[in-house]
Amino acid sequence: MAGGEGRRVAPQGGLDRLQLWLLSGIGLALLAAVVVTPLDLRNQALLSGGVFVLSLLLNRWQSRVATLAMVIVSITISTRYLYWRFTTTLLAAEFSIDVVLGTVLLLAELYAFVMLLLGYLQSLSTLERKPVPLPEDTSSWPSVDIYIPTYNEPLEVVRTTVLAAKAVDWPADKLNVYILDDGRRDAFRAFAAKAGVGYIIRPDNKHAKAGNLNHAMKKTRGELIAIFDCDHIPTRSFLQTTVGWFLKDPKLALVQTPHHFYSPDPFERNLKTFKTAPNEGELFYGLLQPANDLWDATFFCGSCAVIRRTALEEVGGIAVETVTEDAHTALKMQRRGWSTAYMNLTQAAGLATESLSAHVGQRIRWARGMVQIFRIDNPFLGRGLRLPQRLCYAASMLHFLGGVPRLIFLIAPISYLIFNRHIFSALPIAALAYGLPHLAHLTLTNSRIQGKVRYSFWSEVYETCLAYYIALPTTVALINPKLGKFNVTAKGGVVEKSYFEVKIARPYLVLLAINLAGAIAGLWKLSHGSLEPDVVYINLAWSAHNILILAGTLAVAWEQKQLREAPRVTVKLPAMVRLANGTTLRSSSNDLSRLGGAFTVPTDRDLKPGQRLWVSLFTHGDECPLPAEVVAYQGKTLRVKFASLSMEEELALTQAIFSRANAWTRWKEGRAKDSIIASWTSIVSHAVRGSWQIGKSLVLPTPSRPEKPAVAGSAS
Amino acid sequence: MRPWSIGALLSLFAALFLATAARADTRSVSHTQTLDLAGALHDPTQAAVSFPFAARSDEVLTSAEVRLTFTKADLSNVHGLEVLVSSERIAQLTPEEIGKTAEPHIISIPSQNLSDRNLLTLRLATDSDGPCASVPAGTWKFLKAAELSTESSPLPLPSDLALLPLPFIDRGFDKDATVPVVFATEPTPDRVRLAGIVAGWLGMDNGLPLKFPVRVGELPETSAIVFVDSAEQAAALGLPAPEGATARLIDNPKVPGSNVKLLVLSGSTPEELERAVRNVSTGTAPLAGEKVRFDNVPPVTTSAPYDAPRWLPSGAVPFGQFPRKNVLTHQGSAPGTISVKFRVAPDLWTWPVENVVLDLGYTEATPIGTKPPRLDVEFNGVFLATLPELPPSPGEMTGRAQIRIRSEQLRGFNELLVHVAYPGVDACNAQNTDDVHVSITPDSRFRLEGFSHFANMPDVASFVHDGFPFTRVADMGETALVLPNRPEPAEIGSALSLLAHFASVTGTVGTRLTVLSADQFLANPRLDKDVLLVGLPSDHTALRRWADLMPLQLGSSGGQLQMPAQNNVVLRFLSGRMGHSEMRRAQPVVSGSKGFAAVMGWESPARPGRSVVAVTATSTAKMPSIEDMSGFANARSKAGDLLVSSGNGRWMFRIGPSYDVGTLKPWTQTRWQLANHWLVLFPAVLLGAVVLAARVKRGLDERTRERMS
Repeated sequence: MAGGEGRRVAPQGGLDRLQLWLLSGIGLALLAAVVVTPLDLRNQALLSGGVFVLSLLLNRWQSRVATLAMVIVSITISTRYLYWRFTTTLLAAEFSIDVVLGTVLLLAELYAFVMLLLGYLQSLSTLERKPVPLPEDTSSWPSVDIYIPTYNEPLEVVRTTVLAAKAVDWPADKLNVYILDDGRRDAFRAFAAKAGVGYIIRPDNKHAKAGNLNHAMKKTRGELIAIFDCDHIPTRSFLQTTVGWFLKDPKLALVQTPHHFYSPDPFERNLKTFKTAPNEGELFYGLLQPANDLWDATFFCGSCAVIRRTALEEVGGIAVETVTEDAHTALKMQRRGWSTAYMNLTQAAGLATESLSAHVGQRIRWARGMVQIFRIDNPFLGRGLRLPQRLCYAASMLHFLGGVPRLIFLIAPISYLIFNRHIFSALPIAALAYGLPHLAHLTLTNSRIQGKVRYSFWSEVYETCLAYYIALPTTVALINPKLGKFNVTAKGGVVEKSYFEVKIARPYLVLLAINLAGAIAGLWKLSHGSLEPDVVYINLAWSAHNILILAGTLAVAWEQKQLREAPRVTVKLPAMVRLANGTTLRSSSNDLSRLGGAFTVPTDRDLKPGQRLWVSLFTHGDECPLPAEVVAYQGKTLRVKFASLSMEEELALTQAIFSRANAWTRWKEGRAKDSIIASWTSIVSHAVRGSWQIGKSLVLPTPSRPEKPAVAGSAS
Repeated sequence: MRPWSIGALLSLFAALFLATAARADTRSVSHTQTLDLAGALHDPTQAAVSFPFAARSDEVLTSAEVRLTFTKADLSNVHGLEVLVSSERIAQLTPEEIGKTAEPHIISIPSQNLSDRNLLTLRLATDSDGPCASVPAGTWKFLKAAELSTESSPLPLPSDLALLPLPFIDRGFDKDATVPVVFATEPTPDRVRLAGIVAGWLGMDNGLPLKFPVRVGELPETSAIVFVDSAEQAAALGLPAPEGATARLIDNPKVPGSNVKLLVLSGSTPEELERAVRNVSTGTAPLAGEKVRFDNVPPVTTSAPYDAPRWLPSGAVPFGQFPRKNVLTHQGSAPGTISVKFRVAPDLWTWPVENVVLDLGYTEATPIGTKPPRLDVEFNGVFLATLPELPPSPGEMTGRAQIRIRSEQLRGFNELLVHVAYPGVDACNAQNTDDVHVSITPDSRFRLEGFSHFANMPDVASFVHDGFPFTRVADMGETALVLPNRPEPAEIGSALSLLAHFASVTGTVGTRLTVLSADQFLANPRLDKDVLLVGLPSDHTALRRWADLMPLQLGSSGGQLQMPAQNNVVLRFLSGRMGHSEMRRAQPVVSGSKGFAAVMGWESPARPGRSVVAVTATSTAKMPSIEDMSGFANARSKAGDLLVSSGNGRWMFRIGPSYDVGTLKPWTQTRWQLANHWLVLFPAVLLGAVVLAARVKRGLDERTRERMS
């Protein structure tokens, strides 16, 4: 074309706004065409198969555009399913049991669809924040109060946290550590005095943790407040990593960091997946929170966070209206124009809930609290938030309403298998042709976007485990948000014997029995000649899936014994072992806990159990020998338990284990990539093992739950 | 009932009287029927099965024989088999005789046992006698087949027009019928058109497949319809000179004094013949006596599309207002069936609605102490549902059910059956009183509201069964029948058979049909009509002109499959049907048969939106009648553009491109176009996803920069 240079349409930097909107419009129109086109069975099957292959090909392309395209294809296929569901499978309008059941199922599916969309929105892209360097001049650094609230936790648990908090790198004149003791215990007061930290108590326990923090706020004056649950041990770099952002952004109210657990949670312990598979929390802290951060919708999680005092004061302190005060406080601050940040760098570590019942109890509180917020301070209503913020907050809250829909999915197939109700007006093969691609795409796409933080199908197990327990509290909270009480999550303890947690498992045993009955009824139908074997098959397959997930869930309820009072942490540090006769041996640590440790001692020595010696760990600063006693010496591995340590010695040990800046950064190394098939197989094997154990426990006399739950360990 | 039916009855009595008086005709006619054992044996424990048989109205039975074929079976429960005709025992077979299975047993029925209406009964000997005797299940297995052959003599018929459709059709006797047609001279398009109107008139009310053997310039030795439009023609055939526009029924001069009659439609000019034909076909003047003369031209009425009297109008028409009067009640407690037959427009487009709703009301009256009946609903041969049982209460109870029918089961012609069975009641202990009955309420209806008229063509199946698209306008006002320039009798016969069928579909005679010779048509191919081409390609210049649009080229030695020319290969490709697999499927059928008939359809290249259907064959002997085309065809799809009918069976294929006729609502039209070109969805999803993904990524990157700064 003549004068080509002068007529360049798209200058560098791309297209103008109108063209972009036009392109998006065309893209949407093309996808809408895919959603609304009715096809006969054969073509629907071919289209589904073809589009899935397309998605598999996209999955081979390691690019963000490919990820986003997969998400969009998945949404398109799911919308196509739902469009078909609404336009062709609804039952006649006349009132009947079938219509009622069918509507219930449809509503459950609609909920799942909305959550799918919100879930994709919430994980489209994460914000990977890096620490902002602090200025050279420490006098310009803000003053920080570290709050460690406690109520009934043992001092053994709290003291490590306090010592580590004291060891955080920050100008000493600008750092104050406070124990906020709602248990008002003398031992704590004495320890605080000895450790040189503040000790704050109040006359009552009104509003529990929130009230405790609010009370302390009136007593201290730090510009920033860092909050740690009493078992969350910070690294020394915690403040240097997080505070920079407060200086850079004057409207920043909160920096939240991940909650990391160095002890196995009940799932990890009972299914033996500790460190080999992502745990339940990683999806939230590894993907959802950093993605929320992109939309300025990260919320406070109660611990391992820094809050700006002025922001907190502006909203009247920590919120007390709900049982999830943390999330609510963040929402309130954001409504007033404050922004929040998330740093996906593990700068603290804590103990996981040690029993399934405690885990369930904690989640009931979260579920109830989030639904309370949804009711009394709905993110869709009120001023001050932008749409993405509203959607992200809503996603986090609505997630907890999943109990009832999940129970519906767990029961639905028996409505046909046992009661012969047709709650879905379509050929079963058509339901398969439309429904299966919807499930296949969301599985594939989620494996791609969440694979690092959640293996395929594990959400099913996690959420099924909670479904029954959160169903009622969330429904109650939805009706009346005032009903609900705070319960402390007990941590740090032993499970002396393996036992079957019947109390938690009972509803799932019932659901399993119901599905088994359905499956038997279905097989009976087939063997006695059914007029509609295809309907039987599809419901049988559904029931089989339910049985698998329920059996997997029940495997979690088989509580494995946990003997160590203080979990060991892998710590590789140079060390010295000094014997009573003055001999010094070069050594290195393998793992450590506050009670003992294992070391590699290359030189062969005659070390007897009970022999006394000193161990020095080299992290930074001065050498501090720790008195210890040999437990065993085998091969080149020396196991010791520490004798009673002085405060300085305990501080040195704590620093060696917990305070190193890189203490938790290599935690996820060596983990396998998510594989849909491998993950499914592992759930099958858990299910088989679980059912075997449960079968045994129901037939043979086996240990049941110990008389007194070994929750609080050696509680003071 | 037509007004002349009573006349016909009277004449029949007269004829019978005549027959007994003088048996002039000594020719003999034979009929054979295979007795449907499975159909007659409702219950395997029945001890007896009966088959009614009768004589044709213009014949008298002279002899009959039953041919029984046995097969090896357990005879331990068989004590003997009786053959009865109208309660008289004709023969008794012992178990030993039944055991001889090598040859069929032939039992002759003496003429003294035969009357006009007879009942043949096969009865197993049992301990208990009487109508309700029973035998163990499986006893009947020894009986493989039964066949009845009858011999009749013709009865001389009076020459009375009121007898029509006798001698051509006896509705109570014939399963199909042959109606010879005679043209006195060269069958011009105009003469064929008039014959077509008469064929339609015969086809309209008789519901049988009709064949029309055509003769030119000579009379057959059978009954026939003769067209005469000048005195010379009448003289040449040895018929009386026409007296104006007349219809007359006379003895065939070749077979006088018999039931062999000629219906002569005549005029001394073509206009007078046309007047006679129009009067006969519209029934404006009563047909009675030997001759009727028509002085008036009946008014011409014009059909609008879809107003065929036999088709349900659109909407939800209550059963009580259906064009065909169906009996909606079953009396008594014997097992029985209520049948509701109806036609809908063949292009009623339900897509993408998967189900149509049958809103069925039913009432039951059962005496106290009787269990309520079980009501099973069947639609076009598919079981739908058992109706909910009504709570027993004195008097009449009414229920209502909404039943879903898969849309593709709805066809042009439909039959709804409600099978009534009282538990524990069979034909023997049934009560036949008025206080036991089941009815379908006349306000029951199929919910057919909101559907458009639209069809994806070509669809030769719809053509063969419903005459579509030609029956769309019932009086054939939008149909051009194009014949060879010099049509052979067989070609005219095929056309007449089709026209008779169209009339039986619509209930209207195609009085506005246009008939053209191939050359006349080619002079004006842009004619705004659907075109029906009938004839051999060798005779038919119009067929040859469009040879490249047909999936099959026919010659005397067989056929050659080809991919029809198509304008838009891309759209065809996107439909996912390139037709090659269908061509491969058709190959052995076409090459395996030397001679066959074919029906093909395509879109008119001269008039887009108009359809062309060709009915053709490899030779005149193979030119098909409607009976050859209809019935089961081996097919992979519901519609096709090629139907091959040979002696071995029928096959339908979908080889060429498709086109749409009719209009849809814009939204449905859009979705249909997408669905019909569904392969476009693959690039759509890929392109749409990538474009949007790129757009979203841009937005996310912008957002990330904003958050980080």
